[in-house]
Amino acid sequence: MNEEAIHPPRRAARGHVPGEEGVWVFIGGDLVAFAIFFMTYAVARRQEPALFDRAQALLDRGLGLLNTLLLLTSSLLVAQALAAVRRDDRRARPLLLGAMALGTGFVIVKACEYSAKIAQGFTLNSNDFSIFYYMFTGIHLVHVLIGLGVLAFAVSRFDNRGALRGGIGVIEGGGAFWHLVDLLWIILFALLYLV
Amino acid sequence: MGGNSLTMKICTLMGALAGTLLFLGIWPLAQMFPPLPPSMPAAQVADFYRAHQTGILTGGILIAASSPLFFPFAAAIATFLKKIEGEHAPLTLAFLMICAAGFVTVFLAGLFFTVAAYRPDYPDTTIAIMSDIAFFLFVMPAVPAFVQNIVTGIVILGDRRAQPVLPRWLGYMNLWTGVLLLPGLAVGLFKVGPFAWNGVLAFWVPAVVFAIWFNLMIVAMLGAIRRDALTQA
Repeated sequence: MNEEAIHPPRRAARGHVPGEEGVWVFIGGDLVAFAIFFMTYAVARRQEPALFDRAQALLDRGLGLLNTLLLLTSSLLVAQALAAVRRDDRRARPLLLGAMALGTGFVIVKACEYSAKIAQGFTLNSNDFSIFYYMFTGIHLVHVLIGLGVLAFAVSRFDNRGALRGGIGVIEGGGAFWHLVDLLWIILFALLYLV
Repeated sequence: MGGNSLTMKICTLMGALAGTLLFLGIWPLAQMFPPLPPSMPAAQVADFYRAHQTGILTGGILIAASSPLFFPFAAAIATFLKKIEGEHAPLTLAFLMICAAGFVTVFLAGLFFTVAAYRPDYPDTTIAIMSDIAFFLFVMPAVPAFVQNIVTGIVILGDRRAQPVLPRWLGYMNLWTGVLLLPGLAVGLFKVGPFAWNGVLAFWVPAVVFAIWFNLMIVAMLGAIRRDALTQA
């Protein structure tokens, strides 16, 4: 192994891309995909505005808002964990665990919301809106579960004393993905519950 | 290792040949691209098969023929994954089994198109059922493909070499492809709309994404062969 492989040259502070560049291939691609999702929704909504308005009114905005707060706070904790790692603060790991707990809370709230909706007879094929509601939030939920896995992997990178082994890239990349999950939810919340 | 890298190159290019055959079979010949709408009544479906009999039968041959050609391509991917994983390679084995299951369905789809077009005097519903099976065989494999992509992505990203065998962006691209193929899981639930088997999100997005994945895999693999990634430590 040559010297450069052991001590990679420090990237310039200006123009630093958080995480490794490849993460952004995934995030960019995912944003393109969801952009297509949202355009499909917009087109479908224009065709039946009255039905979409009526079905939308059945959703529980309170639970949607609660989930938004859970994810926003969780994102904040991840950002603080990253800052803690950068100044070699041992609180990074508990902050990440907190973020995971809030993310798990999101999953539980979503499960309660789904079962309440199904109990009311609002199911997958009830109408065109319900298809979008279940499929979009379901695909987003898969993102949340993957994100929780990524955060769990990031947590496992710390030793018992709470110091990070290996590079900061894992926390940066995982954090970037978690912010993506958050961002997508905010758009979904606005689109499905509010607009 | 000149001979070995030639074999790898041929296996990789088999993928391009298979993809081309599949596309020719399903699009200009069988005219099943985009798929017939799932909401189409059985009588109309049967009439479509009767009217395009020769095209569908020859298309069926190309589709069925493309299926085995995907296997050398999968073997070339597996050779790279094995190189990354080393002696104990559970994910490479998983990849191979999932790929085998996923690409056999291409052969079966060709077979069912053939059966549906073979006897035009069959009742409408019989032809329509065969047609349904053929389309499910095309779209439902998004599920094994999802797992396959995730496995591939994890192996590529797990590469600890200073110069990775396959580029790391390819690992992320595999994860992305996997996520976008997911809506194919639910095609059985819908007959119209974006998540039906001819819909934007269950058909067009996965089809385009699969094509991008396929071409980038070939480019990245040819690149890795060119710089002898398999022979380096």
